[in-house]
Amino acid sequence: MDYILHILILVLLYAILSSSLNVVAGFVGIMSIAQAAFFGLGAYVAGVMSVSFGTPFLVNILCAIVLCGALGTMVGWPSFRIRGDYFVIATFAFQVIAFGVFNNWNAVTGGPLGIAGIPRPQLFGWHVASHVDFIVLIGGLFCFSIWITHRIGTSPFGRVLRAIREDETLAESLGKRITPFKTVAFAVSAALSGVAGVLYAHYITFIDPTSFSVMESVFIISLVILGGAGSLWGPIVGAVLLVTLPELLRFIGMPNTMAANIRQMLYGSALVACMIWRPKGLIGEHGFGKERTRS
Amino acid sequence: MVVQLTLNSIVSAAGILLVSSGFGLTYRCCRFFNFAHGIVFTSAAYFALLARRHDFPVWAACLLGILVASAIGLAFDRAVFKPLRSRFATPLTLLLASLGLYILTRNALSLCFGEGTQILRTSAPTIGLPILGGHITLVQMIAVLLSALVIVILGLFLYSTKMGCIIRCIGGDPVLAVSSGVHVDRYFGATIALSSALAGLAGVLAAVDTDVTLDMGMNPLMAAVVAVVIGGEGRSLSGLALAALGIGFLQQFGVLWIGAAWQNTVVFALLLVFLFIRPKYFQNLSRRVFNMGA
Repeated sequence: MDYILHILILVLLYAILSSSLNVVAGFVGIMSIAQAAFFGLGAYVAGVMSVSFGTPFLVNILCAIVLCGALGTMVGWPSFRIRGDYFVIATFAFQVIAFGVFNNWNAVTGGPLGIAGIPRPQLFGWHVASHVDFIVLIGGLFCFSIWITHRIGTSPFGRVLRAIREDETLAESLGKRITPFKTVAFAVSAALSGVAGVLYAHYITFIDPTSFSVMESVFIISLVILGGAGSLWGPIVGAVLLVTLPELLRFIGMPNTMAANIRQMLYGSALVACMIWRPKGLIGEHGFGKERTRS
Repeated sequence: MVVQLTLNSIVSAAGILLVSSGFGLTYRCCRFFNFAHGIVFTSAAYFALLARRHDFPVWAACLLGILVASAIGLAFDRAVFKPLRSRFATPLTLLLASLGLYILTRNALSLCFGEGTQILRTSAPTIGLPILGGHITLVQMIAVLLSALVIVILGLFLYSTKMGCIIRCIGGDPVLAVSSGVHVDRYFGATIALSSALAGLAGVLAAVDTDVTLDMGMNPLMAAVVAVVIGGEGRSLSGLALAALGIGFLQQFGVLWIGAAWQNTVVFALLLVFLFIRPKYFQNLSRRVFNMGA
């Protein structure tokens, strides 16, 4: 039973992550390979603060939101001035740098050994310890992030983002300043990933850099692509499918070492197959398929 | 110490140059960042390893590795990139698909060969030949000479043969190339096969020099990304060579001040700074890229 609850918690965590990426990928139509960097930043903020200073959960989560948002703005602002595929390269660079910092700044992050013994969260006297408690907590924050993405999607702000996605020049000619809009979207996306990071750190109670590598970013991308970018539920569907399907492999008696490979192959092929046959993903609104921009 | 670091820089620059010349060639002709390039590098090493296990001589194993790399590149193009091109894919789509291919192939290799580190070289590692107070191994020397040679040949190929001219032309304006009667898809395939062969060469050289691991392609790939962006988007081989040398020196001499572990971080910080201070440079390229397939 705990195992099923554990899977459910992972699904919720990854759903927060994928819908945070959706704010950038789905609404603005630009892919970021830095989601795991912000995820990791949130996790390390929670880890370092609660282990070294014993700060409560709520302070950690607020700090992570502020820090990830600020860093997202700092990275997003200059990055959005360059072309789409170079934006991907810029976020890729940021991801590699962030991983380097997690992995090598031994004094703070513990280097490759990571940080162990992160306490379970304490919230207004409620000690979150069992799986059910975590489902309530993470589910609550999941609903919060869905609400945020929904609000962004339906607000005038979100409509401008969609306009930018469909035709940047047109949006600009209507007097919208492109870069601030994109940057705010990117910062929101970064902050939401940071929230997921804090939850992850407090749930697993141990973090190390390997959980926040480039491959993790690509995994989050494939969740969004498979489920479908731009729609509210697409990334969630992607998270449900790509997190639970590999777990089913265990039940058909696949050895653990092979299962890890098959899991990765599954999301690699999901990425390739979606690009070829279904650029809009399963239920998405925005496809990464076609060249829309006029030359 | 300085001599040794300089030698190390040149050796790593040679490796970076080989990988990034292929990566840059693909970018120049097909206009997308082909992340699958990194796994082609790894595959070459693994297939050379396989050949060695069947008692091929080292040179034959390396040659086989390079050929297989080229074939894998071509297969990627036919199976994935070509259908994508005919659907008017954006460079972003192709980049994402190539990331998917990287993961897919990496794990397929892992299933076939296992996760662990493997050894291709025949003898124990030696300290190498003394040069000016530094040391360089025979394989490293061959790698440096070979990569210099390959770059010269690639330059000659691109600038003085008809095929090279057509490849540059497609990179310049694919629509014009189509309307001049060029069978563009064939040249895309040829370019990717050629680039993959270059990656394969770099891969087998790295495999003979050090160990064979599943992630051995990741660092060269990252360095190639940086070299291609800084060295002028693959449009000039001399720019690429300069960028590769710069990265090589930065990696090796950076070790002096901040420690070996920060190599990648430093190089990517350089890339980020470069992208941020020269944003205009990356905006103005023609966006007419793939609209010729259908």
